[in-house]
Amino acid sequence: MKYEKLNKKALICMYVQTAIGFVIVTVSILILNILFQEDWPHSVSFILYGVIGAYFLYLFVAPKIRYERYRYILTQEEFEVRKGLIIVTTEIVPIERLHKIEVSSGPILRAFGLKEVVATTAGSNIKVSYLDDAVADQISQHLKKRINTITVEERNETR
Amino acid sequence: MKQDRFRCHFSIVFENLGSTFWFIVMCFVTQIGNLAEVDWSKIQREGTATDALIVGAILLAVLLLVVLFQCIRWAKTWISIEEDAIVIERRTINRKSNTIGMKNISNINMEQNLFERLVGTYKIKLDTNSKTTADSTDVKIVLSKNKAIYFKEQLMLRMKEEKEKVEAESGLEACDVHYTVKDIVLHCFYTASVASVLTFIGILLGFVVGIHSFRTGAIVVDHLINLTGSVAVVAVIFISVLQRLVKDFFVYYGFQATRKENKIYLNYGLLKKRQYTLAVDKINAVQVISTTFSRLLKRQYVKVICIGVGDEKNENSMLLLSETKEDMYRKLSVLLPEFVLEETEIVRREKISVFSELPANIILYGVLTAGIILVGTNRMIPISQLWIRILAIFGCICVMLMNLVRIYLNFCTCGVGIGKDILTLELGNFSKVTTWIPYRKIQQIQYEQGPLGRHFGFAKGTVFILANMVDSFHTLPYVRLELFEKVHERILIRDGNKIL
Repeated sequence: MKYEKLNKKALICMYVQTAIGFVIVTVSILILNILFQEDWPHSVSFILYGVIGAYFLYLFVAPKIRYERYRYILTQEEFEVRKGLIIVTTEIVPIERLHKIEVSSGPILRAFGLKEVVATTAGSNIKVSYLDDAVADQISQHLKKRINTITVEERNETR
Repeated sequence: MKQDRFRCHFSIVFENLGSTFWFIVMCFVTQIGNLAEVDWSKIQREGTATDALIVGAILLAVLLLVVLFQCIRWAKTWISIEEDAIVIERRTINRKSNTIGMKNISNINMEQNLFERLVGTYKIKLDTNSKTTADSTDVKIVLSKNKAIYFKEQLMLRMKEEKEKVEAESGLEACDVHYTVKDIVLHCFYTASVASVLTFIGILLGFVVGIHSFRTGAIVVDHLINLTGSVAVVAVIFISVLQRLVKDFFVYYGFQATRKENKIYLNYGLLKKRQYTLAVDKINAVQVISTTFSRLLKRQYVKVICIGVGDEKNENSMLLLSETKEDMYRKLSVLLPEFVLEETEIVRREKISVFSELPANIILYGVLTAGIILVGTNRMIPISQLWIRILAIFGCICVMLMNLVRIYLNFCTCGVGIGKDILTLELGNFSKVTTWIPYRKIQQIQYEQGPLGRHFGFAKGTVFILANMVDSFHTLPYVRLELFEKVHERILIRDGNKIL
């Protein structure tokens, strides 16, 4: 079995998402610091600037690592996704347990022509993001077809 | 109930009013005597009412409106059984019609609380195979006893299980598992929490010492009067602890369980009668639980995880009360032989993962102790008193040692067993929970590896099953990655080995 990797566009998208987070956090911290710097000790301000510095490093390092680790497998029997930064999570769902397939895309994903596929079972769900539009649709179609086939097979078995 | 459409029993109006309503009514009733003291002639003369009377009148009007609302709701709610569905229609301001397909009904449970026993009604609770409603009972219908039994029979008939009608009744008479009063009292003892027992003993000891001091004259009546508040608080704690200790006795009184084909019938309760019907194929996992006490005394009880039972607050999906291991297996092989197919070898938690927890533990409590010493050196803070500092450091060391014991016990307890059809998970520290999950019931598996795990080849994970929020995920402790791969292979097997 061969893991599929994400398109290069996904890496840029990850950078953009992280950068947006960085801007929001930095602006919030700066506003807080301006408002309260006279009330709290200098050490608090240093810690907050430290957070900004750490986030800045994260901005450059994290998306690349996440992109390299992000991969998925879709076979006739299972859907598997592996992702993470420091802790790598592997999620596996047998296709026959799937109930619902959802394809969605937020404004940032849409700007890069990407989508995410969420497959729901009776117990939880599995999500693969940053997929090319065409790939996402292909995966969703494959899953739908496979679920239908399995349902028909099971119905025939019970008869 | 010969007609197709029917309403719930009228008593549901009183049940739906809720405890707050009845509390306010009780307040009113107790204040009726005070009405005699009201100077009505003055009110008539001056044309003004006192504030209390106005508030009372408004409250009364609100209460009457609430009653009226519930009556209208009752009158406008109709239930009908159609060929392959139950339809519950409510035509109040918000018109609503719920249609539940017969094939989706997983459980039909009958329940009777004290009020319902007095009125002679039963509450029928229907649960469907739906994750979205897994955390609550889907439909509650209150009917008079005869109607309730008839309704349940009708549903079962419609579900193409005509035999169940007879078995549902006979199952309550001839049972496979039955517990005597002594067994239930012992179960209460085995499952008591350590904190409850210690509090109970502490309060009893305090009471004895108090009585002794009173007799010897160390405490005089004046002191007792001053201590009234404290005594009241202790009394409340004592009652709540006592209630926790004896609650299970009332809940599980007369516990009976019977297996008939693919159904298990449960019947228990003293004040609130419960009758549950569990479909075996809807059982997603079985848990064998040993609390701290029961673990020391080598006892365990069994509960099942399925949609429909255990959804409500105070509802427990108990299958067997506290037993020895041998008795538990014997009874389980009668009630649920599908889950006692094999003795699986349990692989314990990876040693290296335990060692990875130790530095974090030592650092955490080391930082705490250092903090206490640092704060202690500040003369502005009273903690600078040497004996308080020593006490705080001693406390930190005790907590750290307790945590080390917990980590050790966790290592001894946690494990995974990869059986042919069933995954066994053992978890816990002082108590122990063994969960048996058929691979076919696992909806998803997820495992995580940190840098240490990737280096040494171990991982920890979670399996997801269809259950209410609390029971839907089960943790796999840190074990070799190969074990996850085995679980992965087994959950993909579709044909053969279908035990449930």
